[in-house]
Amino acid sequence: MPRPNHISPQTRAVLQQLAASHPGWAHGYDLSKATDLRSGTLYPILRRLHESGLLDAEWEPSPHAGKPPRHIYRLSAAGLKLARERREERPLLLRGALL
Amino acid sequence: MTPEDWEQGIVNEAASVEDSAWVRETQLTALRAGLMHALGLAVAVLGGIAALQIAVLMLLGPNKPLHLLWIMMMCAVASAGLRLSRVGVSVWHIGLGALLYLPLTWAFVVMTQWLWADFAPQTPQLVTESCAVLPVLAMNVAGVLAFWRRRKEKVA
Repeated sequence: MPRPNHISPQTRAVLQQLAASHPGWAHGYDLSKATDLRSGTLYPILRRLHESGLLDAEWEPSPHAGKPPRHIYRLSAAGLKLARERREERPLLLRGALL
Repeated sequence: MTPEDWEQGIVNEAASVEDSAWVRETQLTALRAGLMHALGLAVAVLGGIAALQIAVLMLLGPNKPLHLLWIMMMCAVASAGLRLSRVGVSVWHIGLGALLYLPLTWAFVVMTQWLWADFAPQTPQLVTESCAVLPVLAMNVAGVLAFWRRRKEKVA
């Protein structure tokens, strides 16, 4: 899978959060709260990262009886490399460019 | 992971946390993802069938009876359904596409008669006596029923 050329600020936030918790796994809810992204924004990003081979996703059985299994996420080696590369880049300053 | 796995993952995540505002928002996200997935695939199936129909019509020539065409279309739908279900796409989507295809074929024929009277087929009909059509339609209906049964089991 080709690596994405352009990464949105939201995707970058997800990458950084996942890199910070690597090699641990993260739940969608925790990622949503840590990055301040709504689930409608977060899950398409996670899916695209997974389809690009940058994110590992697995099912985790719930320790609580009656609760369904949950998805857990962790950056793959390629995802971790990309997150570290992009951390060095300066964020795009739209305000300064447009006004 | 299949698209259904992703949708189920979102639903399960919503069922696993206590944050009611986040749960509501996430359930809506799962619903939207499911609808878009179903709609996108149904449109893709329909588009493929329509393209094939136009190609077959051009091969057969104008004003030919559509008996053979119907059988070919239904066999194509069945083959696509079997193939896609093996790679993780629900038969439901194929069934939905095929079911939408039935009324839209009539609309297509009427439109071609209006636009291109010399070329358009004159006798659109579903060959119900054909031994090929009914099993395929039955498979499509079974796919829809299986989908609803799986959804009910997941909700339960």
